[in-house]
Amino acid sequence: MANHSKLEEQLRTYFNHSQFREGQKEIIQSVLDGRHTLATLPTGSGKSITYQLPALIAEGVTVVVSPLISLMVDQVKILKSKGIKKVAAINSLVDEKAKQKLLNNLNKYKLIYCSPEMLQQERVMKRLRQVNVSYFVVDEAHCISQWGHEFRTDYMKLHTIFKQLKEPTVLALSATATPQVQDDIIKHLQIKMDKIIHPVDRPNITFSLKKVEGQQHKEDSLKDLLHNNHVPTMVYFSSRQVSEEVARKLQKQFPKRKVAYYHGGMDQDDRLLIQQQFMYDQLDVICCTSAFGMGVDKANIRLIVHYHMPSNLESYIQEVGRAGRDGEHSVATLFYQPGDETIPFQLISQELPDDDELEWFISERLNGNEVEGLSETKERFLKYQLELNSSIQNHHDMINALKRVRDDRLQAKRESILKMLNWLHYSGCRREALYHSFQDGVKNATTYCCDHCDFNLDNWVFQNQMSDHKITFYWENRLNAIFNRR
Amino acid sequence: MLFERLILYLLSYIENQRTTSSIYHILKGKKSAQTIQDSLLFKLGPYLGILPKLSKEEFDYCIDRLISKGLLLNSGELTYLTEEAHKLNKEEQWFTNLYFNGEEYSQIALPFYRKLQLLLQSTSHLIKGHHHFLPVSDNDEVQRDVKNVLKESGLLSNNGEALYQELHQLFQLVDEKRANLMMMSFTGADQVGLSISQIASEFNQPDRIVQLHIISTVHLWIEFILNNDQNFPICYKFLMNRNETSLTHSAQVTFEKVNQGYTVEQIAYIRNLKRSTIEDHIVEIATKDQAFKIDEYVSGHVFSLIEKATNHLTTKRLKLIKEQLPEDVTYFQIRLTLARLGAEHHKQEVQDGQSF
Repeated sequence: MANHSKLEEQLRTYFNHSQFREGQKEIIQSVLDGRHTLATLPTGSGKSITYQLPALIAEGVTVVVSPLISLMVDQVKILKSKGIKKVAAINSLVDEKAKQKLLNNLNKYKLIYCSPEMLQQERVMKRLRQVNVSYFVVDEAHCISQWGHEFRTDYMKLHTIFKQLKEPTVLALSATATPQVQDDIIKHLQIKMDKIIHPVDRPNITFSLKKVEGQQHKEDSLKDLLHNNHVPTMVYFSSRQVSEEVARKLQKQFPKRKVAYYHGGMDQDDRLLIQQQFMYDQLDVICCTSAFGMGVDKANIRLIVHYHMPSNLESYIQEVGRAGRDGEHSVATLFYQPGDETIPFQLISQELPDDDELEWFISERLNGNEVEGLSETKERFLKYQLELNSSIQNHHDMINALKRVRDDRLQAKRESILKMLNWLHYSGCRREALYHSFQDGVKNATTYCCDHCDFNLDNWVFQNQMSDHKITFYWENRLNAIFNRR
Repeated sequence: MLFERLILYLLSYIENQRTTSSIYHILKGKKSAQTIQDSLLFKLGPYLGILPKLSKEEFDYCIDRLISKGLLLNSGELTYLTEEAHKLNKEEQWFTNLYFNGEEYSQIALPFYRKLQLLLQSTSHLIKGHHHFLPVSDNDEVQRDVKNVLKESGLLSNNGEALYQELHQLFQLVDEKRANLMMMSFTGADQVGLSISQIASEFNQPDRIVQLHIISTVHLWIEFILNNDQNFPICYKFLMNRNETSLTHSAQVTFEKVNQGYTVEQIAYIRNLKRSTIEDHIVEIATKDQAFKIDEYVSGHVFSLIEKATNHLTTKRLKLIKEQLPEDVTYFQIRLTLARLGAEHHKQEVQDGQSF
């Protein structure tokens, strides 16, 4: 047991937590024992500590592959705010000078977050090969799998990176991975792994679906819901524009509350402000796209509304997982208007190149021309597939091969949407059905289960948990407050 | 309509000489020699680069509105204002009393403002004993400079009294409404700052107008601090060590390479940039640094040819000038020559107190 209490001591030293949350310790122990580990832990249960603590304890540098720049930036920022400074991110946003400096001083860091694309750069790899890499962490490991909801082609090359780094202990992490995706992860990494799979269900969240008949009905339902419930609330949208529009309407409807919108099209500085306002209860309602939430560790979110349906169950589970991290009762509701599914169907077809784009790209590239103007996801897909199929000589065969791959991807994504729709139309227990493909059985709800079992959203009223936040208007009073003067 | 009025006002400066998009490039602070030269020639320096994120769509929308209101003629090429527009431009407007000095401060205004915001946030938290907080700026340079200032002893003594006094002076430079508006953008331990669009809705003003008020205030503050640096020992730290020439960073790098004796091609190759980009840098350098020798790029002979053509045409339009010259004279050479001539005209004009 001595060893165990020592781990807890280290947890306190680095993170100022007195004990591990469920599931963390087992994963950390497995990694420290040098076993390649595939682990799932639900969103909001402190996934990142499972590699951060081993990284800080071990000699050498831990490399963390992370698919999203915003995710890395948030992680680095949070660690730094906790006083852990030997961390950095290498991605396309880091300017040349800073990157070179970072690479020159690589061995001074404990944790390096890296985008998969950066690991394809020879000079990054050259430096990484020269230092002692203690752990190789694959965050959001479901990105490796074509069956995952966020497939990333560069993730499929990670096994060669692993070999070049002299095969350090691997930790692959995901919040939501079906057994099929789990197998795919292990297959692509080409190593034997211990699986530590934790259930992802959240007993303190009540699930409910709200069927509405039209746009106006949807808006009115949201207003009614917020009228009854003055609690920290997130409303998810698929469209940036609609998130702004609805935020404005809600602000007008509830002049005494603070409503804001947040999406990826905003300035980074504005995004930071809105995030922090929400964290500090200066905002009541945030209307956002899926861009929000990464790295936001707000404990008291009581209500999560999906104004549009997400395109797969994994995203839905992640997004509702931001509710009730304090363990208190929370409600997640999805507003569904027949026909809403056209949005995700459109979105997935926009992510992949159409026939014209595909043919144009291939002929330009085969003629040695650079191609510009395609979206990032389309370009990434095409580049990778061209590389993968470079043995195909015939232009025509190449086009057909890529079309086939694209159609397979589209089909997989369509099936994900259909699963989401099935869940919406399911007439049994919503909680059971939501987690069905990820685990065997679910824990009983701590309060109410779902709209099928025992819950009616229309009658639901949370106790008011927000105070009216008045912002200080007069500059001199504000200046005094900032400097803690009376 | 408010923002369009500013654009209409600026368009009058280039009437008959340039297309409307030259104003767009000036507001955006396009890093091209053409734009820097235009700002000098038409005395639009104060507005150079004050809206670096202005989109072409928004600008074009304003132009369309001005045309549909009968203030601007839809002439295709050059800009023509109507009588009514000229009359409107003479009226007092919301921006009449706003101070801008984009030429000098556009490059440093935003970093300065962000550093000031982070310094205030840090001070506020630290004097309350909070040692861990999420900074309002992610930017490395901003964080580094603020840390350095914080490290210097005394800032936190007496509850940040010295910084308090500096800020108190700065806020008193503007009227109360603007001071309130500015203060809302600052984050402290007491309250998270508001974004521009949140402030705009508090004041019931368009985002752009709020943004321009903020930028103007920052320019004013910078000017005041530089002129009274002994009264602002803390804030002044964020303004020290500015490049004398205020070259863009990338042009600065090119400048160093030029000084090491590299040719345009070599620099383009080393830096993996287009040749035209390096040329833009050199024109920028020539525009801003009067000591910079352009002989290597423009022979004395070509220089006088271009000068003659320019005088002859009394225009600053590159295309027309080029048409007057032998084919092997490049746009690069014309722009470099104009940079020299423009600056000399400019110098003379300041001395004579006359306008073009």
